[in-house]
Amino acid sequence: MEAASARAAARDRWNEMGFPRPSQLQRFIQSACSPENYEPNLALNLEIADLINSKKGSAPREAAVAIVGYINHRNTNVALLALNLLDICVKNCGYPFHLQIATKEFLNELVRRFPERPPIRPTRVQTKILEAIEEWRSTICETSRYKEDLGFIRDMHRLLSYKGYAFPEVRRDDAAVLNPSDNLKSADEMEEEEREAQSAKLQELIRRGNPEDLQEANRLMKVMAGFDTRSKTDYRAKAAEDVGKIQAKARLLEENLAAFKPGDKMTEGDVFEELASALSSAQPKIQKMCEEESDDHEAVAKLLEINDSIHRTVERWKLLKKGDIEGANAIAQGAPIQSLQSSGGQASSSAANELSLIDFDADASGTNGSGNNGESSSQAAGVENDLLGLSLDGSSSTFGQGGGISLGFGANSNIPGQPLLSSMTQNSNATGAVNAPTPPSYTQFSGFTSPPSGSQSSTPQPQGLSAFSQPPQKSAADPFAALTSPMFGSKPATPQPSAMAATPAPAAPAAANEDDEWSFSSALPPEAPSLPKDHAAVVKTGEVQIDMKAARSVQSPNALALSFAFSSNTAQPVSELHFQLAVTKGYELQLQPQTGRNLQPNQKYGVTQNMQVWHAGDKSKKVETIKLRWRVSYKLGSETKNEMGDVAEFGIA
Amino acid sequence: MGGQLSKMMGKIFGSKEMRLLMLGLDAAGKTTILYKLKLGQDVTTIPTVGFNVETVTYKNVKFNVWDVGGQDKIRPLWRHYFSGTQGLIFVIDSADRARIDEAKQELHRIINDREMKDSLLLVFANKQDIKEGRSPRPFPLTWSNSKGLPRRSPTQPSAVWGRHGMMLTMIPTTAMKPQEVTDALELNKLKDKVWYVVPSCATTGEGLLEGLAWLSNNVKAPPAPAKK
Repeated sequence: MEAASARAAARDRWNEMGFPRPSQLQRFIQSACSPENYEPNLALNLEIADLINSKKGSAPREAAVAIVGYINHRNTNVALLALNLLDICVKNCGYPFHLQIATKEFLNELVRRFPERPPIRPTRVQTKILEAIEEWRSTICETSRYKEDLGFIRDMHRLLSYKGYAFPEVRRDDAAVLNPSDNLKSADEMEEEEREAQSAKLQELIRRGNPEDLQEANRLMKVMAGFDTRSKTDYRAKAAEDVGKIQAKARLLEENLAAFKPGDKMTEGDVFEELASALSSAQPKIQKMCEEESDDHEAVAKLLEINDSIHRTVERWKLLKKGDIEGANAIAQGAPIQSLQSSGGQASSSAANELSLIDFDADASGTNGSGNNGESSSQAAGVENDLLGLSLDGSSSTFGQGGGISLGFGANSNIPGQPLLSSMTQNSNATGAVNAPTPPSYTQFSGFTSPPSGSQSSTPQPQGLSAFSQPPQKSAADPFAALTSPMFGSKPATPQPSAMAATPAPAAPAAANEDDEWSFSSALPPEAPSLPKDHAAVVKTGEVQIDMKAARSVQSPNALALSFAFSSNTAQPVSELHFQLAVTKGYELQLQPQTGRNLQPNQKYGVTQNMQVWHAGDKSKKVETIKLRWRVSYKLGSETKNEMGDVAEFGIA
Repeated sequence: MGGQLSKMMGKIFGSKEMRLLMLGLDAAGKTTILYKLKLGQDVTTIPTVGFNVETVTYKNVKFNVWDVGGQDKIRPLWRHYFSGTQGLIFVIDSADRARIDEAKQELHRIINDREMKDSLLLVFANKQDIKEGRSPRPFPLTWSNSKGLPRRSPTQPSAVWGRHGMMLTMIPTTAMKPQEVTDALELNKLKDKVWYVVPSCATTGEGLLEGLAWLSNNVKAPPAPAKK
């Protein structure tokens, strides 16, 4: 009752004042929809959109109410003008306006003149309205970050279809502008955007004034005022993740360019151009991020480095496009991904290259084009051996006979957040890589460079791990540390296979036959070890994140000691966490119990579990490399979740 | 259309509802006033994080009173409540002379907003019961740390420890009189604004109904000459 009266009082003021003076916005809309216009006045329409954007507050609602009034005007011309204006506003005013067109009142008003049964021949206005609803449903209702706020549009769409209305086809290209752009955004911009959306939502909730809306408004206020930080997004981490994606794109282009042969031609709008334009548009953003991050020198150094390499890649593309292959190769000499090109150059199958466009994860194992090469040359059975096999000694014989669990490229490449190989030495740290452009950094963090896992870059530090020797983790919490990777980071395996190929390790002979067809080039500092001393990876991301560390324990040097740490990335508590692990035949697992089964909201490393891997029945044999398959189940709220996946092969000295 | 319906209702029944927005610095007594009006009793409140809304009926007018938290972190969110507000109740801690200037700035920021240009302005010069005065006041530098601790009731004798758990300076002071508040807030500078200052005491209820009566008498009326 109170709420109802609060709602009534909240209604727009001028309604209660008899004949109110129309506001500037209303006057503008009136003249934009005036029947004197023979065609839509685009300039005025855009001005209205600007006005809504600059006034904010109740302006989107005011505009939506006024426009829908004109849409229901008797004069068809007026209605069409209003629909045109509506389209402009929806496409230019963003979420605050979307929120308004997604209100029940607006949608009901929009279809007020629709008959109960669809007419045999819908009028132009009706067609336009149906088109608009269809367009919204296929764009903002699907892709908006806040699509759950736009549910009534979908309901209206469903209702109309139920009544028998047919929706006209929407041209994808016209509607695409409503989808969120994938332009790189800096942390500040993302925060700003989020704040705008929250403001609009709060305004709308207060206006509606239903008890549940007010409750939600109170909750939202706590978030906005910073009292409730549980659901706060780490924008820096997100920005770092996005930079990781840009890096992945740059790497892709670089790979594709490497595969580019003199005879090939670039056409307009091909993959090359798409990638190159994405990269060029990202460049100013990265520069802007450098300014914003100016107090974090490491991040700036990394960003600048990334920027440089993107620049080189784009330059190369430009030259190649002109047909100047020599010039392009000259630039490439300076590019830090040299090691990729020599092998990538042989990658004949461009289809294989495009494969990695879709699936970043495949790169983790398929690394430097040689993986693709291997795949395309259809060594079906040997595939899982070819890359990984390089690093292994006799134990590689166990691969083919994977027993109950079959691990292989095919299986691995589909797993999101696949852990990445990384090589590490014990005494280096993150700063080491910053100034040296070429050598990848052999740090803890290089294991966290893949695009999907980039944001959760902090290394797990479970208590049980104290037995292992670890390098200091000084910048583990810094999301940008994740970018310290080898150039074109997310390429974590790069150092590893090349290290294996270049180092005449005793491990090599077993796989030497596989080795012949690739000429790896190496970019390693001289003291690089053949196998890392320890290994860290993100096993899985998502609501429950699992990080893994592997090392040798002092007491049992023959075993491989693993430690898993579980973190929650949601605001809901996680309970009944159950983690299972399997190893390939020939190995056995000794698990210590999980430290717990519950995770608090957003708790980092709330549960840990330690285990050792031995050779089955023979504790005197040293376990060099291992593949794992895991399964985890947990309860999120009342929902039970099950997930499983693989941990790619890794080895430890 | 909803708007038309409410327009018609307004014409038939006359405007019997009024949307009021109650703002002011933290610890001015907004929530205490709201619940004194609503329940008729003195309640102990905690700092409002978010807002409270209650409907109070007085003299046949339904007042929807929105009380929004006054901490500096929340103040940027006040503007979301402006739309449709017919009367602004600005609450002042009359004994807090140190922050009267801050209150003035916030008040002017509110009433300069486009959405508030038609609303009435009622100022409650609250806490008039603090007479012989010693008003507890934290060190100005640490004030912005305020949050979370139970609110001091206005009648409580000044304590050495304030509600924010910090050491307080003892400054001899009495509650400002309405005229003082008027001057301090520079209300006389306001043009095209109908305003009124009422001395009040939230715990006893003194002055509150007088304020509501003034609001209901002045709403909808054409801009009248300002009275005091």
